[in-house]
Amino acid sequence: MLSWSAHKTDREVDLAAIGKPSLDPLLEGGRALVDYVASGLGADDHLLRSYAALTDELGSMATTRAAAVLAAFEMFNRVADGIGVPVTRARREKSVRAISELGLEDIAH
Amino acid sequence: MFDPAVYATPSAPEFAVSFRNVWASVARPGATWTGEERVAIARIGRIAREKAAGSPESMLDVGLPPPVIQASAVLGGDPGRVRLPWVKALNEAGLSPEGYVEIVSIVSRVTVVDTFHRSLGLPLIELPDPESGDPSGEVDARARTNSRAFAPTVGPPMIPTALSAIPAEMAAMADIQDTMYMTGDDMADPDFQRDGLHRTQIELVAARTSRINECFY
Repeated sequence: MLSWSAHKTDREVDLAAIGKPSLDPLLEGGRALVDYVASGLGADDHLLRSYAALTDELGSMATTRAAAVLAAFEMFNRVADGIGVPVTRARREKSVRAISELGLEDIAH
Repeated sequence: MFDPAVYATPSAPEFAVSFRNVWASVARPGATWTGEERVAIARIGRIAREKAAGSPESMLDVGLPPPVIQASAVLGGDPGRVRLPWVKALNEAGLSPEGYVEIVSIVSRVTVVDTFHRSLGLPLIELPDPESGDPSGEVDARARTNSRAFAPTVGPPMIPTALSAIPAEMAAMADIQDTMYMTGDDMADPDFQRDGLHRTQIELVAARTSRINECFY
């Protein structure tokens, strides 16, 4: 969906930044968004810093929306993992570039 | 409970309504579990996820059968561990497939609310008091378990159909999805914007979240 929306709206994006936060996603506020997600999920203990950085860059309204989206995907990921929603062959074929850039070859659902 | 003033965004009223709906639905009897059991399931999922006060021993004190406690704890704290043999073992230990789907729904929807609050540095909201009453038994008899999935769905197992064995749970997930992510109509719009985030930025957050969770979706 990211590569599709970027392509359709003529925005440049580096998908590899999703898996490697040292890279720049090339979207406005991209680095701050990537950092904030990790903090919001508890993957690091820099929440205050990440929150402040994102708020400085995109504003408090956008930061709240980012929190909503990451929370939504905590739900979707749990549902996919819990029900065992398989990654179909058609889906894999459609997402070849993203799978390769994100290193998702071994993920089954 | 769920005061929109603390969210400081034009979408605050929507958030508050959706969160109240989640809490109300968790408190009510579901298709297979009573309100008391549903709130206990939510509590176990939260304890496991937050790795906070509470221990496996304290989870054993909530009056639920061990397979229910186990499912709630793993789905809450480490959902990436779920595999087909594990789910089959739970089913063989007495947890019905529909009961399992309901646990997935409860734990996942409480996770949305908790993660949102935690990400904004807000305290978690106390879980609701359970309502009395018997489970409704309202499951979709057409649901079948696809050979590659772990639980029954109506039609192919996909995110939108994942909870379809229990229509009320599927509708509840759709409600919170519309508020937190986007509606079905919005999905067709690559230039969609919400609260100052462009569609590409929204999808960047989504993709990064899934990557950290090692989930394809």
